[in-house]
Amino acid sequence: MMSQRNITYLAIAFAIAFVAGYIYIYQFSPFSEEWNNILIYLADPISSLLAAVGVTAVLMCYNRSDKPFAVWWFFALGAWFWVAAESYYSYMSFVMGDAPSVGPADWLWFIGYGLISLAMYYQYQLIQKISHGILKLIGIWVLLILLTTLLVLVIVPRGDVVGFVEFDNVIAYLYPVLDFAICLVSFRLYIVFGGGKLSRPWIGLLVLGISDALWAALVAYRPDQSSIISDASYVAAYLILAIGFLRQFLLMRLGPE
Amino acid sequence: MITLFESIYHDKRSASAAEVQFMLRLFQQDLKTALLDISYPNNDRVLVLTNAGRPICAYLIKGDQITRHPSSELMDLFQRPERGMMRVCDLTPASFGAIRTVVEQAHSEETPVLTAELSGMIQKWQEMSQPSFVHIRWPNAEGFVFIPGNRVSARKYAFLAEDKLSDSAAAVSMFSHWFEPECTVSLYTDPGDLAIWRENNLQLGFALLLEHSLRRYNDLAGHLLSVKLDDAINRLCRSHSWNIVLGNSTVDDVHIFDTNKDAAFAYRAIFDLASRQITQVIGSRLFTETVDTGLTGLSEPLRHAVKNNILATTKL
Repeated sequence: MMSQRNITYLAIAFAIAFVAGYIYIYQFSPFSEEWNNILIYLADPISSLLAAVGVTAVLMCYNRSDKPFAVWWFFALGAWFWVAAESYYSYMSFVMGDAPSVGPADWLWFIGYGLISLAMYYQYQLIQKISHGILKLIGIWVLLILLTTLLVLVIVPRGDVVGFVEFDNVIAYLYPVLDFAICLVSFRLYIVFGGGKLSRPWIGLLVLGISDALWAALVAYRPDQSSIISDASYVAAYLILAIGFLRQFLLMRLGPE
Repeated sequence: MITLFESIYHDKRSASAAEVQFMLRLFQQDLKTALLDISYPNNDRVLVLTNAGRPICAYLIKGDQITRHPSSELMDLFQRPERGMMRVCDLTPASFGAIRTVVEQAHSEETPVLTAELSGMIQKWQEMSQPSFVHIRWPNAEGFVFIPGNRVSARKYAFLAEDKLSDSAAAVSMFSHWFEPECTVSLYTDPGDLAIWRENNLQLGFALLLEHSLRRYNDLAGHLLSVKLDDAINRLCRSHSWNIVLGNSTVDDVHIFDTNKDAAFAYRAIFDLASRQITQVIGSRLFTETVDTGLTGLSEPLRHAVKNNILATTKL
């Protein structure tokens, strides 16, 4: 039987090959235009699907009576909402040439963010008891939306008028703000687990948050330009998250090495 | 004069040294957990504790003087020309520590109480800052319980009557539901200089700290990893023939070590294994916090015993 380490190496090799293939197709378009597009647009849903399958496999290792069950239940649910969002976004981009600037995919993403913030809350609650935790979580969400609106007010010019708030802009800027918040909490959880193996999925989420923030910031600032670095790092981040879940799953099934 | 189970096991028979040895061989065949009590005409008394047929500890009592002998010296204690009066008391392993405390500690005062008041009294003693041990005697039954102190729940209950032996959770209800309305209680507290209390404190402190760490681990990592850790510790204990079993993050320690040093070695090995695995999974910071919280919850003598014997070499 393969050791945990070898399975991880295999998964890392697969992830590198996946991202390399993505970059190659993105850069050199080796197939027909239609197939190049299909493969490029499939990369996000597939990589997010791998992460969702990974977190679901971790969830299956827990009984309902286990305290961490809530953490992984909300994490898995959020990840599946992200898969739905990625699939819808890719489908619309492929079929219509471009996805609507604000559409169902955004709502699916935001529901995913909400569920993953609940997962983080339950993880934090397990480590440190928080009084009125859910109220605080809602407060943080409201604060983040207000902060984003303020950000849009201050930095987005509309002709000569600075301070004009458009709903689309708020949505576009909400992504990097939420990613930044996720990064902060993931980093905090990583520090609390102090290198313990339970920190791995949170490192994955931290990387995903950084990469998504980069991508979202680029889209928000320069919506007409997408870069291979931000697109490829987005795919890679999902795969890193998936590897984090795989390591967690192996730990749960086989125990610490 | 030490009295143990006189009203429950009162049948005595005369036995020579050869017959005592034969009886011990029968114990081995039947895997008997028992107390063998032999009184000699010169007022000498020999007590032998056997666990699953294996002699684990013996006492020679000469008047007020009580000497503990390792099982290797057992046969020398019986090599006498005169016959003794032999009594066999069936036991549960959990009562060993209790019996040893009754035998090794100077006699404690007996106080008459009502059976109905017992649970209230035990709860009151739980508030004490020191660990204690209670021996309860009814006309037809006896019970033991260790109280770790510092508001930690009593543990290691044992109940013995003629047709009932229990050291499980059932023993707790047997205490309060026993039909005899009156009993006497003897409260033993740690005088600070007795070897038996050093052992009791170490055993209680180890079990409480390990259980606290395992519960926290279960909370953070879930049942699957907890069961794996329980299994790993159980394998370690089996490989050393230590009578310590973990299940559902609960420690069932009925092993009697020859010396406190042996006990400390075993507990250290178990705690090291647990700390290695837990640290790998939840990280050293959370584990250190867990141990610190666990230690804070222990009464001072237990904390002292654990710190000096178990944690002294553990990397935290």
